[in-house]
Amino acid sequence: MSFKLGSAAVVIGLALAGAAQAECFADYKAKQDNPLRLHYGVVALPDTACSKTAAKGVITPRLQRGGWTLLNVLSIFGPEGLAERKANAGAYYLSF
Amino acid sequence: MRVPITSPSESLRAGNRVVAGGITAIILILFGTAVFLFLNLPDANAFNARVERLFVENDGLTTGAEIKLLEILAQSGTAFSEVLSSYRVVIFVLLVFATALMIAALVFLVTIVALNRRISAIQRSGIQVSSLFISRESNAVYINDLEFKLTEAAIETLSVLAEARMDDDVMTGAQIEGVISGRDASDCDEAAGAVRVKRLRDTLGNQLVSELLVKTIARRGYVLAVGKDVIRMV
Repeated sequence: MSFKLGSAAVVIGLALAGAAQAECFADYKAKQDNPLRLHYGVVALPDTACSKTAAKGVITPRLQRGGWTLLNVLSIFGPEGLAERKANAGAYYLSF
Repeated sequence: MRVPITSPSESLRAGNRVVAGGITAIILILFGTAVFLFLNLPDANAFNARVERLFVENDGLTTGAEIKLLEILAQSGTAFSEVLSSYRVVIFVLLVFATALMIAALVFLVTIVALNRRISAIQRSGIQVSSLFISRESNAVYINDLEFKLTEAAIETLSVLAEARMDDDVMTGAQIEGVISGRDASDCDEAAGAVRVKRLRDTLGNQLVSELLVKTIARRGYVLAVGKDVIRMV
């Protein structure tokens, strides 16, 4: 019993550790031109950029390195919102 | 009725001015049309921009399938933009053709006007000899395809005058007589040459007038060979 509890605690601890660096996430829409390609993605933000306007400044250069242009930031959310967005973001889940 | 006198060079200059002005006007009008047409053609990226706006404005459009669908829509728009660029080329070629045709039409119009003027000038100036063909064998001379029979002596005189004309020479009566009789001009009488010229004028003039002016209609009589409307009496 205590072993099970302990392992559960480790699992939770590990899961939290992954997100521990960032308590703050954003979902956004981006595009590429010629031909037009679109994607919806989720990124982790540093704690200092937990607003939509600050997030824009952080996400834009990150996307540009991958050849994408940021269209808009939809929302800022905590770790609890990650699960529901994971499926939609697909390949762009926490990839930038 | 008096017709205002214009010199040929003056009308030529006026014609050139009309051509230059007309060509400028045609090019300006068609260039304006081309610019208007090209500006009014939808931009090739218009479709992509619409799809992008659709994507941005609808927060719900986040699933992978929906995004794929939007991308396919945008791709069909890109195909449409290729059609547009081919339209552009077609329009450009057609406009160039239209310009060339209009310029050609203008030049032809001006040419026709100039030709009409020349023709009316020729009509007013009387008989215009455009060809003179002397046939010594058949003793005939063909003036503008009209055949006139002459005596041997008259043909000689005409030939001598024609040869002198080709050399840009003017001959005295004595010289004409000298060439025809084969003697030196100083031994010849001026009057003899004058008589030859008079005979040539008589026979040729008589036939010319009867061909061009006073016609003989066999077994019926004589008639003037001019239009009714050009006759005027004072």
